[in-house]
Amino acid sequence: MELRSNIIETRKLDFSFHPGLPILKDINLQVPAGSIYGFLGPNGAGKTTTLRLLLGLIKQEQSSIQIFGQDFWPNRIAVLKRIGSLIEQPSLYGHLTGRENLEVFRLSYGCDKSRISEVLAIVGLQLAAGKKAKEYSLGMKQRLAIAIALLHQPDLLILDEPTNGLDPNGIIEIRDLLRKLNQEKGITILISSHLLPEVEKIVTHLGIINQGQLIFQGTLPELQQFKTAALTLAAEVDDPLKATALVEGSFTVIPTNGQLHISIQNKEQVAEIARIWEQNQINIYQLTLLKSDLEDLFMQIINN
Amino acid sequence: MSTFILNTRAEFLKAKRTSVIWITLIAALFVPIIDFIICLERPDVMTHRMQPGFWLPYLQFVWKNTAAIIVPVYAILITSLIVQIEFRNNTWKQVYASPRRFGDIFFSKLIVINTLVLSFFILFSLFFTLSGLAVGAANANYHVSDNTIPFTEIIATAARIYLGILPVMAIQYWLSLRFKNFATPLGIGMGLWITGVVLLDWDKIIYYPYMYAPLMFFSDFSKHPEKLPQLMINSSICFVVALIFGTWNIRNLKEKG
Repeated sequence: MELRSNIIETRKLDFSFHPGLPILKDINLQVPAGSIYGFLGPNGAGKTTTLRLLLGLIKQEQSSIQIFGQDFWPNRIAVLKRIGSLIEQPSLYGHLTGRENLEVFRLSYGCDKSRISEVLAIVGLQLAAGKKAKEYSLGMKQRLAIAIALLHQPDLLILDEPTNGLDPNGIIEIRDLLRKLNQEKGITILISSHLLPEVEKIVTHLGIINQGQLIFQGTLPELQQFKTAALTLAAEVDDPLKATALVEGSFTVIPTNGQLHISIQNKEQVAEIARIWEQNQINIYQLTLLKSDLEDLFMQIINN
Repeated sequence: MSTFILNTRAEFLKAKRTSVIWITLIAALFVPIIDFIICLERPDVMTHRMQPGFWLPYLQFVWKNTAAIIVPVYAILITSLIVQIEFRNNTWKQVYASPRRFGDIFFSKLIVINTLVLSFFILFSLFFTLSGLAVGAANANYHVSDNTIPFTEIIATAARIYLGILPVMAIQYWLSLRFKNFATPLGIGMGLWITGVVLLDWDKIIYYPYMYAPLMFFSDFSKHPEKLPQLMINSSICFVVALIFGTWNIRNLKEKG
């Protein structure tokens, strides 16, 4: 699918509930039209706050949020008409049936009654439509919540951890559904998660947020490059000056507490550096691959 | 306007299968049934009390406890329950993320609450009339059939008390929207109502909204005719001010849902 301009764009988005305690700092989110954008970060990183700002659930009228090329707050109603959303747990009226839940939101969106049967078919809940929502399993609730988000045929879906709490089959079902919606209906999807494996099979773009800052934004291959750029090799040698001179043409070297900290791209470069020093009679006492905070973050996100 | 009507229909649908309908029915039925039983069980006392003409003394008898207790407690409870539908189901965020104006969300739900309160008054007046007729059918000594049903007085009394409860409804609505915990607006409302009962003899009670409904019934407007317009004006102003403040406050909440 050809990717067009950005459907969501934030510029230097800051937010704090209390002065001096920023929750979000300088978030420049760019979600390309037609993409499935995975918004990743550990719990508490600021994902939900960002998504709530995008949907106007947090009021910050002076924030620079553009959706569909329009400033959000002056065009709130027009923008929300084109967005389907699921924030945190599914929002369902437990005492109403699945069909009645859809009817409540159908009235608000002002769409045709036939859409109820259509979205029930899309999420595979036709047979359970007459059951009360409180009797649904978590997976069924998630699917009904997605059906609500799809009622008005939105151009953009904003989904906050839609696979949270689901079993592996449920995750696969939701994943397949989202891929189908993106490919067949051309819906742009912004999906948040705290685990890369949950979304990596479907996303075309990724944004990674940590402690309120967007630390990466790009495609999956770009993420791989970015991740390896975060490696640091700590070396203890008998002649630090000579050792630095030998490698500083190819690597960034910073002397730190009697050690040399060298930024590397991959583990193969450890062997390369060791070989250069060995050939030039540098005695190596210690070589350690340091785990940076950034790498810890990647380990959290990337490893399930 | 049409979207507001559609959204109001959606709000009515949310109340389906909840306890609010039953509470309205029970609240409207409770006193007429109790008073019917009293009339049947104690004709020795009640046949004298229901004179002259049965209907007006019976109207006073039935409305007495209702205006003082049932109406304020019902209004406080029903308002909290309707707003709790959203909190309990964690649906506020979906409501605010749908393409609805804040005023639309605020007023469409208020219409549901107001319809229930109004239904209570209509049902109560109906049950009052039926219970009076049932008393007459059960015991001829009350001479119910000898007297015409005073529909004008029935409607006027209900309308006055309804106007008196509107400020409580508006204040409780705002409190229910502000507090997620069901017990908080309920507790504040009950506390303000009980305080009003304690202060009933206070000469400034006419400025205390939680007592407007009881005052609309208990005030002797034949002795103090100036009190009725004053109560009506105070009640209307308080209702409008509470609504304007509530709308402004909810619209400007930093975090919604």
